Amino acid sequence: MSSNDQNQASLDQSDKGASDASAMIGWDFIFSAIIIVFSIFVVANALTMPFSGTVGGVSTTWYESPGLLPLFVGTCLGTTGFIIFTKALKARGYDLFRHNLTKTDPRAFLLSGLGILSYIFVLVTWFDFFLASMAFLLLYIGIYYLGGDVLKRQMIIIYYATIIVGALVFLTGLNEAANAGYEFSTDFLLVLCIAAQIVALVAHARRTGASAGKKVRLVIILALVFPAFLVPTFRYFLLVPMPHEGLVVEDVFNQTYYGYLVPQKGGDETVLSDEQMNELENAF
Amino acid sequence: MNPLSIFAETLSNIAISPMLVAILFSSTFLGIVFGAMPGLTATLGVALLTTLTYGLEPETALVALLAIYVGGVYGGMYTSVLLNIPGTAAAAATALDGYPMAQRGEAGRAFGLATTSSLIGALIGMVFLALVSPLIAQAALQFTSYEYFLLALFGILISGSLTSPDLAVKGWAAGLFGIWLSTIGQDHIQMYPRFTFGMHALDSGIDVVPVLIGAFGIPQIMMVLESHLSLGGIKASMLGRILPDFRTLIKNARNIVSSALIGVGIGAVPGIGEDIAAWVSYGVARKSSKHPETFGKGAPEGIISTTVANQACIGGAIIPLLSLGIPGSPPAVMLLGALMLHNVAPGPMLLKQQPEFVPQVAAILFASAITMFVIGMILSKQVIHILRVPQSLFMPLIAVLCVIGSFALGLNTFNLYLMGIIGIISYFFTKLQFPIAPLVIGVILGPMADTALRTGLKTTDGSLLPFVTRPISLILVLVILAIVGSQIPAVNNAIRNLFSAMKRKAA
Repeated sequence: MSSNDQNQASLDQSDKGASDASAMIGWDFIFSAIIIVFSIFVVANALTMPFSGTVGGVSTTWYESPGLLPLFVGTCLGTTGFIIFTKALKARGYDLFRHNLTKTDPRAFLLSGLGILSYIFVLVTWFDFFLASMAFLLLYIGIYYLGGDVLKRQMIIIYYATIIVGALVFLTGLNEAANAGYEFSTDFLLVLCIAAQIVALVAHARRTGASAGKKVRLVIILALVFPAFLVPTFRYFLLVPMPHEGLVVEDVFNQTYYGYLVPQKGGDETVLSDEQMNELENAF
Repeated sequence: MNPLSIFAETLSNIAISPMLVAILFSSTFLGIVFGAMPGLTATLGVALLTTLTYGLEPETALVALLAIYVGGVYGGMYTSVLLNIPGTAAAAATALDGYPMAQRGEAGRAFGLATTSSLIGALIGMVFLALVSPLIAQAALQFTSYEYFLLALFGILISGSLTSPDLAVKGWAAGLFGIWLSTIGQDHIQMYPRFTFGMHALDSGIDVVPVLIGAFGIPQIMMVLESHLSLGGIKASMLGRILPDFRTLIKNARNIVSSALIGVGIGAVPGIGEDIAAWVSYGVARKSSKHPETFGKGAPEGIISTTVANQACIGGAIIPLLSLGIPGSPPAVMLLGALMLHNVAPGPMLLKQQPEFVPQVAAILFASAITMFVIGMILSKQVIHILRVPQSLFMPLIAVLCVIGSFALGLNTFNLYLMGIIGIISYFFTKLQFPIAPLVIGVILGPMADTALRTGLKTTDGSLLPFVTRPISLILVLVILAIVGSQIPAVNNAIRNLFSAMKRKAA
């Protein structure tokens, strides 16, 4: 690299640094305003806590009050917010914030953040953990590992359509009617979602050629094998029940484990030797 | 039983138990992989392993957690040296000289130096941990509620100042937000529900581990996925033969001692960790070197100073954790959370009631350091093979682990929501350059600050005088005022003017 190129690169770097710094001032402006509002909420809430007299049979004074630390924290937080706000305001924070708003592309955040939130708040909460994790992994690994605009669009549509339908079913109480006949009927929604995701992945492999085929196979295997390893490890080795056990965890894993594996184990263990019987009697 | 016997007994217990040896090796190896993979950190490794070790005996869990901590800090060096992409922030300074050395075809030598220096750093940190913790704990027995409140405040302020050097106020705001989070739920003295908004799930307060997993895990996952980072260029053949270069290490004895002292010292300061220790020791090594011009061009001194310091920092970070219950670095925060889960409450009382705890921890640290050295020397190529797995395959799996990990500790779906919300908040904090370390330190130290402040004031009927009449309190108050004052330009100018006036007078 010639010295001219190096100079140009370092100038570009410093330009980028300066632009990042000015963008940060814009964000500081709005975030400090949020901190101030939040600190007002904390202080206002702390002031509703008992600072004197007797509440619920417990007498208190200001220095014993449960509101003392929140009041202190709220006040300090407000002060820090005010300092950041005034600094940002002096450095044209408001203008820079408005400029940031026009330039910001929230798609990357929405894709990564919303996916995790919907997995936690919708899928894990209401659906079988194995199926929920598989659908999530197919989406995330599919779009980040495989890429491709068409595939990305298809996977997002399938996943979020499932999220919306699932949320509607559970929020409106339709799940009770749906699960009246078979208690895990709603899990079939995720089975459909996973099937649609796999179809989209296979279509992607056909569109893009042999090398993509290998990758697609890897994605599907990983999305299937990882929860299949994780669930039994936590469920039967660490004795941690899954957040929601349904079509797969309850009806496949638990039925298999408790129906075929544990009774045999339990049968062996119930035969106690004389020595063990004596120990047991002595224990009481 | 004297501490040396306990140390030897713990070591022999580890050595003769195949399960403990297996846990030690697998946790260290996992730690190295976590450390080496950019985006995954030692802290996240400790966080995720906490879930898996919940059902184990506290000592066994500690073996796993300390091993992953040591491995995680060491592992960051792999991608730093080979690709100039630091696996962890702690290894960023190592890249300055490690990468040029690898470019010269001396990657094996760089690895040998880094691995041996890491071992030396970890061992020096361990010695300080064993010697200093009981002394601090002994002194801490004299502390009253006032000192504990001020220590908590000091921890949050110093961590905020040092992790957000451009605008320390941002670090403080993060720390204060952490304390606020810790006040959610019924207070411990009067059982008054604070910020629960009528939600019974919040009555018992927020669980620390889901907060830590959310704060350290979710932002990392999101940012790595957004960055589309790939380590496809890394190859085991780049490494060559790894040999410990003892001659260079002996030549650098002074550098090693100063870096280790810096590492231990910085590690002992609440909330700041291995990354700052590595940068400071790099700066000191460069300043004190006879050939500072070689730094940044593959100088062995650069690699030695940074790797010694970041490993020595581990022992340093555990000193305040064990003696005061205040974690010295982000992974130590997670370690504290894990110990609390196992009903072990670090602090002066623990060391008074269980004096054998420090030599036990020192022995585990020793075993972890030796394991790290062995794995570093023998299994480096296998680690590099694992690093070739694309991050986009790895990170979604980590997300699922974060979810099940947060749920497993309390079997409470609410913890999942908490982890998700804290994760998104932490993502914005990170993007807006509000450091996460003070936030989690605030969550950890908040209950101590609350109880200590109110208990202290109650014993003196609300008098604030003990803050300035008790010597240790007064020192802490002055230090806190100095930290706050250093960020106020008017105070800075006044001090500068005062000093220049004194200089003029003296002249």
